[in-house]
Amino acid sequence: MTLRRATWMVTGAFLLAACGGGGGGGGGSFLPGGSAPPPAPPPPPPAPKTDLETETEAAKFLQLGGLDSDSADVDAITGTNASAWVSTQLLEPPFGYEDLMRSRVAQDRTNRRHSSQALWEAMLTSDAELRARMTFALSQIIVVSNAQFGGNVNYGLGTWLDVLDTHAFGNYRDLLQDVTYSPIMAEYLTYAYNRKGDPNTGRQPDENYAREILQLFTIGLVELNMDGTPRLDAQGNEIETYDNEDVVGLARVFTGLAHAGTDFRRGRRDADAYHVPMEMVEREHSTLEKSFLGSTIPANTLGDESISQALDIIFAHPNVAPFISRQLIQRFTASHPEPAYVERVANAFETGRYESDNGATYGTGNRGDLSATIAAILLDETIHDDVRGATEGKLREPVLKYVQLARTYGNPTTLQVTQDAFNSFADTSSSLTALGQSPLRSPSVFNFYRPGYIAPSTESGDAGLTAPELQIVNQASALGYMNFMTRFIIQGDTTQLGRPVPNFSEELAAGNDSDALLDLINMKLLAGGMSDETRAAIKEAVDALPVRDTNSRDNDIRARVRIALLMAVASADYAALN
Amino acid sequence: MAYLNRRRFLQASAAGFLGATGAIAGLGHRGAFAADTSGYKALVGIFLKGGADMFDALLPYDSPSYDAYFDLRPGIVNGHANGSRSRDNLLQLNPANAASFGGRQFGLTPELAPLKDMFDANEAAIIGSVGPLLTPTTRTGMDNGTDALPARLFSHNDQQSTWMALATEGTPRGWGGGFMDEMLQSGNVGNPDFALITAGSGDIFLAAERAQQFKAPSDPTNLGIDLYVRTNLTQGNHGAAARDKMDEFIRSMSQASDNLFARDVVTGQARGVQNMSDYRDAFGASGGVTTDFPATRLGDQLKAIANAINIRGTIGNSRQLFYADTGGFDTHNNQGNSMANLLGDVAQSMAAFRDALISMGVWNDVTTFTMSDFGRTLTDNGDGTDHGWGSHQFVMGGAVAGGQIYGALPELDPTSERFTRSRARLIPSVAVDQYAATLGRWFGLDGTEVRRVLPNLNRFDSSSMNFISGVTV
Repeated sequence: MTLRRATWMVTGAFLLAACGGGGGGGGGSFLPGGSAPPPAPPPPPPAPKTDLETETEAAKFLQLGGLDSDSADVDAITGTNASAWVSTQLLEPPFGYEDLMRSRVAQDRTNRRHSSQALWEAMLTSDAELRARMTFALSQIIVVSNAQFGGNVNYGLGTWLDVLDTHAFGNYRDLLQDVTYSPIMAEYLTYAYNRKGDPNTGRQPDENYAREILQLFTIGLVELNMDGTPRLDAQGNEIETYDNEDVVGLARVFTGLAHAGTDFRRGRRDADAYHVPMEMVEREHSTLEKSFLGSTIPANTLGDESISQALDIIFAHPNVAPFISRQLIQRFTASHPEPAYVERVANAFETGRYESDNGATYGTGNRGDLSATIAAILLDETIHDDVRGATEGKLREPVLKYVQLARTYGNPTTLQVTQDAFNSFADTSSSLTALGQSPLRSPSVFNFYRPGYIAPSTESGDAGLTAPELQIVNQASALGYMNFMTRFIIQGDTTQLGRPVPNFSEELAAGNDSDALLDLINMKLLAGGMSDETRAAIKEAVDALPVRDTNSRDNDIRARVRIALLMAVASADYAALN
Repeated sequence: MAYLNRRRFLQASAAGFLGATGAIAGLGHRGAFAADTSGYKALVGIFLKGGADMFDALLPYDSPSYDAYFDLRPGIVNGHANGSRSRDNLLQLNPANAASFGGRQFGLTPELAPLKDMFDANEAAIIGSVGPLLTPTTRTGMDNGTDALPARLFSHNDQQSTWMALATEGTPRGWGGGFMDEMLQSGNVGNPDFALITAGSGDIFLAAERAQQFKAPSDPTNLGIDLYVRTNLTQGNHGAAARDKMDEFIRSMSQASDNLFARDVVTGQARGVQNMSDYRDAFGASGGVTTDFPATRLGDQLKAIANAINIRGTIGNSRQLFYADTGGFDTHNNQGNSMANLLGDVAQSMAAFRDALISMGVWNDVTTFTMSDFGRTLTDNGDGTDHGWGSHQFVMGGAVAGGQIYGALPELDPTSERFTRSRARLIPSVAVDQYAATLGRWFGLDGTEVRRVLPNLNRFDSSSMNFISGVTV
């Protein structure tokens, strides 16, 4: 029984009593022989569920939609409606990843790892928290990995991040356009310099992008209902959305693209090739008919026009809204979202509009509007009710856990990790020694984990729940995670280039009083979600190290703070945000 | 049980390893156990992620067939440096069953020399045209819709899952894990905590009902949360009590939470910290095997597996399943620049693993085999190949009836019944189920047990899958 559940039960009992007291008279009016009472005044409209009435509601909301819940932000939004924060965040401008990389690292020294660091830095420092979250989320749906690139990519992976970041609150169709022409995607999914078929040699177009844009970026493998569940045929079987012939047909579309200015000669690529869109070279573009998904682009349609039509055809598929909406929900609020929740969000994607329960409206009305979609995700009533079920909530991603810890406690001057020097944020993908997850460095186009992952031999798996983040939890990752978090927690005050350094002044000041210390950690890190059991266990451990009134006093207090923090990040209450 | 201390023994005996769900009831068992648990045996699966193009590993060697191959994929043959795919440079195989291929001959690519040596020494075999099938399948059967096809063919993640677990992504058990479930049913194969060991990804292959897969590092000496905690977080002796309480909290599988996801994380965390600490202790002064392994992801994983086998007596297991994986095989482009390196790593890592197994005296007790998402299109796309279906696999070990080619190596004729109409994707002749069944029978499962794990097995004729001495399916 967690603290929150206990609170809810108290509240529930109170409401029940209130209803019982208020409902008696009304019920009586239906009894035979009762006289009609005077008409009751209309009840005041209920407060919107999206109102952030308490500090803990505000803190939890900030953690769901943002990157941390620092006390200034919590103070600022407590007592407001959540829509106010969303609306403000939607106005935040793009971060400027390529520019950041240019400002930090000379072109002849930059390499792929600086793009990972740039994404880290945005998450560690940016006030545009929702945009940074959205960009990180999109980078896990439309995946490229910098592990596949060499040094000649220059700032191109920053340009790639700018594509995701610029469209983060825009329209998904526009995003697909820029993704398709991105030199980074073209290299990653191997359609740069993809040539039309040659009947003499038997050569056929590369099918890579054709397959993955369908499977991973837009419609997925099976037909979906708006609530994200598979549609079934009369025999109860799933219905596959496309077959090999569709892929063969669509592959013809993605022929003829070359780095700008090269006229299809790879060797001509210059230093800026990765910073500008790919160009169509008609003589290498297939002139054949292109048939897929029940549509046909006629023979001899030019290259750019073929791509535009193809993206329109794909984007028009009814799967796009539920397929993308469910994955975005998974990156923000729920590892296994309820179908009804998926449907509400998918409707926002589909109609391009969302109205919050307090009347705030979002979106342009164009299908694929991501601001309406993210508003629907964060302002859904079920995110704001007090009841958090056993299957609700989102497993926190390891990267986001570290980001939260470092933003919450980090000395701000140490959070600029994009430097031309070695640091530990270039690659955090080792599960043995780091986080098992590394921004922009997925092992493949399938991301660190799959949206449909169901963890074998677990309680959530036995319940049939998708739990993507459990795919990177293994028997080594617990060590990697705790050691990585500990490295921050124990960091001394000496500033080291490119490594966040903590400032625990508030915690140290409270460190002699375990209750005060736990109150701070509960609020800052756990958004008030620390259970009675967790609190008791941490308190017991902390109090087992009494503060001596000697030279060791400061070190004793420091050790108490460290123990409390490590136990908090190792606790069940921190594992999932719900 | 030489190593396990009393606390761990009690925990295992109390079925603590089963998790909180009482999963054992799901097996619904059943009478006597026939699995052979005598001696020591291990299976080692190596997964080549991305879909390895074995057409670019095992090539036709007789001139007419080689010329036909060249005509089908000039972009691939010419894309390789140093003429490595020219006929002169191939390593001709002389399989014991050469006669069954008429006049057709085969050669391995030069970087596979270590596997060629093992093949020549009868230590390795090739299984041709393996892949997921629901029923024996032909092109005509596909055209007519009479041959049911596995779901989501050509999709990486789903075909990886189908290879490892006979169903698309989201299925809960791998056939490797299923084999171990059957073994654990017998009750005397040892410690379930270390029965299933991945050295790479935590993929579905080892997912089981009765045990959790352990992740073995090649050198666990310096791993452990307790090391960090003890050296960095606390205040010497004064902090001892606090340290113990923290340690106990982290290792507690029963942290309270109403949330299933949260419970899964802390259960896994507790199990991982405990098992890693036990494993590190068991590894102890062994120092690991002294064989040199390639300094690659795969080499390091096979070294980790060799090191685990090296301490099998301390761990106390008589049956173990291991898993390793390596990526990069999704060669849509630039295949000529990458494939030789990828295959060379596989061959060299497997050869080092062989040497380590021989040095430990377990060469006859460990059977190693490859898997991959799928093969690739026979026709190229210029400088690469696209997703296919059936492919060829390697099996090695002292128990393998090596020096032979099992399964089928059809003529490379895109118009034949053995290839799909689009892009000439090879239709498997051997089902994954048949391939797996042979390994499972050698591992010690009886025919009934193997069929429980591989329920579709009877749809196929497995009489030719005798690639391990003395094993019939």
